[in-house]
Amino acid sequence: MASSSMRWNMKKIKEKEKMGYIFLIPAAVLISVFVIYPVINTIYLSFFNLRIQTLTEGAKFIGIDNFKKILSDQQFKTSLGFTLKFTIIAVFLETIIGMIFALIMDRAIRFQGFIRAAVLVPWAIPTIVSGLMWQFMYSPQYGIINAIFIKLQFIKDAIPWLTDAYWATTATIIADVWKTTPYMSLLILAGLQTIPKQLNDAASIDGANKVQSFFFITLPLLKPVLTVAILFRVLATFRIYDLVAVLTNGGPANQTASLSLYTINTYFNFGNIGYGAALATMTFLISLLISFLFLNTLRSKLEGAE
Amino acid sequence: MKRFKSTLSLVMIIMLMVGLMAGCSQPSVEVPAEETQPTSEGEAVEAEPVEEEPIEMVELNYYSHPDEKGERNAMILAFEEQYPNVKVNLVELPTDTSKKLTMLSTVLQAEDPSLDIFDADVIWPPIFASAGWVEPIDDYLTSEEIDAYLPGAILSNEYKGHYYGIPYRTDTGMLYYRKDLLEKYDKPVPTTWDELTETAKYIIEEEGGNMSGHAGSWKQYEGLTCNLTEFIWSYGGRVLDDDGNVALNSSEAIAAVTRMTDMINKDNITPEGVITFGSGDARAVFFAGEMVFLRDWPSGWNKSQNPENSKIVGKVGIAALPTGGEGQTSYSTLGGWQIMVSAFSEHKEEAIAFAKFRAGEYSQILMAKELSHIPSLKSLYSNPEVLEAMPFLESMYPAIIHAYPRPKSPYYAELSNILQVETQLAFIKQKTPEEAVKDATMQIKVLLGQ
Repeated sequence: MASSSMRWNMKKIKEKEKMGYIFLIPAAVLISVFVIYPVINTIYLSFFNLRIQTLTEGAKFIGIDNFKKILSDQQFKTSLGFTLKFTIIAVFLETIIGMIFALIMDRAIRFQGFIRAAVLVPWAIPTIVSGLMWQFMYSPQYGIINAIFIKLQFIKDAIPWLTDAYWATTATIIADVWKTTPYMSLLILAGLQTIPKQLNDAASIDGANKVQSFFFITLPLLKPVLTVAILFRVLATFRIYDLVAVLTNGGPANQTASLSLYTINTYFNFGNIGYGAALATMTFLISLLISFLFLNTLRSKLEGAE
Repeated sequence: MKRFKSTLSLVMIIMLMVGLMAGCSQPSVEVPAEETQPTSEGEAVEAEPVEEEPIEMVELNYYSHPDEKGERNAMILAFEEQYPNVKVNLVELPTDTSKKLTMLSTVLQAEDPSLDIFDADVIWPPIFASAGWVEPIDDYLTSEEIDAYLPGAILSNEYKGHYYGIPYRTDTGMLYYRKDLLEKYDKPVPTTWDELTETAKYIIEEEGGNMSGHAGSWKQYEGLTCNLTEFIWSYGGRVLDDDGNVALNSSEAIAAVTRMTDMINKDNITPEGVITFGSGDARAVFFAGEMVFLRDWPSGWNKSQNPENSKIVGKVGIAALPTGGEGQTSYSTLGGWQIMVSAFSEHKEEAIAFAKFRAGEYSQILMAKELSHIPSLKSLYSNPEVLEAMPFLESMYPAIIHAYPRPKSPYYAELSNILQVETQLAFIKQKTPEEAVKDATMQIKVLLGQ
């Protein structure tokens, strides 16, 4: 009797599995059409010499020549340098500041719900809109940031926010951190909520102070959430395009041209389809490399800590 | 707390709805009195009585500059009255010219039939024609119609023996100056760049405050190339020679770039942040009364005389751009916009009819009055309405008709980018002008396969 009911249960499970697969089909179709096909097509195109100016002559197969060209491309190196610097600093800042916000929001205080919603506002504003807003604030002519700093006598001359390569990078990082910190802080807050309060209570009974309980209890328990959040943010920031396009458009002299901006200009403005595809493929490979390295080191740290 | 939350949600929903309704209302458009205006063919514009049988509507998408004061929509309405079976939708392109190119390239590369007609900058026809994305219109233009346009303007639309677009406005760089300041300090209108710099320095000294001397659109975009080529040509240099070979690496070009970088770094007559200026930013400083000279297109004239935008109404003069020195000629970059028809449009007949209207007399007179766009039709330079709107057209006509085109090439977008980046590197002192010119020359040679 037990075996026949078991068989009946197995059949039910198999049917449920089948239903599950059927529900997956629409998503699978969408992903293959809008993600997998373009990626494969781009990688395919990167092995050809194809420009819109010579579209009628067709694509010429040139193997890895495009990639060799990338390695000696000065602009590629500048863009890669800028994008890496930008990603590392921005993600670092948003993690630290996000963590502080999350710890504050974790406390049960009045208007907790309202604060959590208000904190999301920078994230909710479309990047183009906030980018233009920052552009006005950084303006050398009528920018409010310089005006306030000069009034408070922090600086004597106006800071060349968007005209100097170093300051333009700083300005873009500030604008990006302002926008994405709320997102990070909410992710971390979600992680904090899963930590049982009893652990911290037990620690304080044993005589641990706040700092100690943070580093020895909270942080290790947050590691899974942090890993995912940071990896996600690193990959997203590496692809930065809209903020840079609005604030500096890669200027001055392409010093703040992120990899995505350079790729899009090459592909759409110059019409160099083959080389643009190679740049995109290279960006994709570098992102993959970063995520592998990241997951490996963090995983070993996780295992080491435990 | 629960009641507070639900009240708050209700308030936010109401605000959202009000916002949506406000956004959906159409701005009022003033259609100028056009019942008495004849079209170039001499027909009356009054719409013929619409017949009762259903007309098959053709919808065209016109990717255009954004509408500024309702004038473009007014022009479209006038066209639709002439062609009741056609509806034209204005699709806005981004304000930055380079971003316009990106958007158009994206749509055309996809061979999307949802784009029928579009605005094209004067240096784009070779790019689009070489890619096979635009329709040749030789069969739709008679030789008289071609001759009616300014030669520089119509020739920009020619590629390998065919015409791919019609110019609806031409443009040429001009020097704007503060008449009142020059009079106050008894200085003549400068004829060389050195003279301009000296005069600017003097007036900045005397006036003090926030006054600066000169600016153009020097940020990293097409506008910089327009300004740069004017400097290079005015010193006697060239980018490409008559056979299309790169001739950039010359002492004249180096002198020109040096002159520009010195204005920023040595003479300090440019306003802060000039290397991030589009033409709007440069104009803003001039219109605020804080600059002596400005290099701009004629379309700035209208705005400079409008008290809503400008504090210097009645104090502005226009002249030809200065030269590099004695014996050199003044050059201004040929600008202008054309209307082109996509090769993938499904309504080519109607699209071409609209293109001809957009570049026709009615539209050009309207835009001349509303936006100070200078006409590309020769006949309009003696048209009383146009001359009343832009009195400087008579004295500037020789400069306009001799405006010099930028290098014509299907690779122009990349060529221009090389010039922009190298010039900006010189601006921020990462390279000397010599190095910048030399590197630009080398890169352009590689690009063009020389």
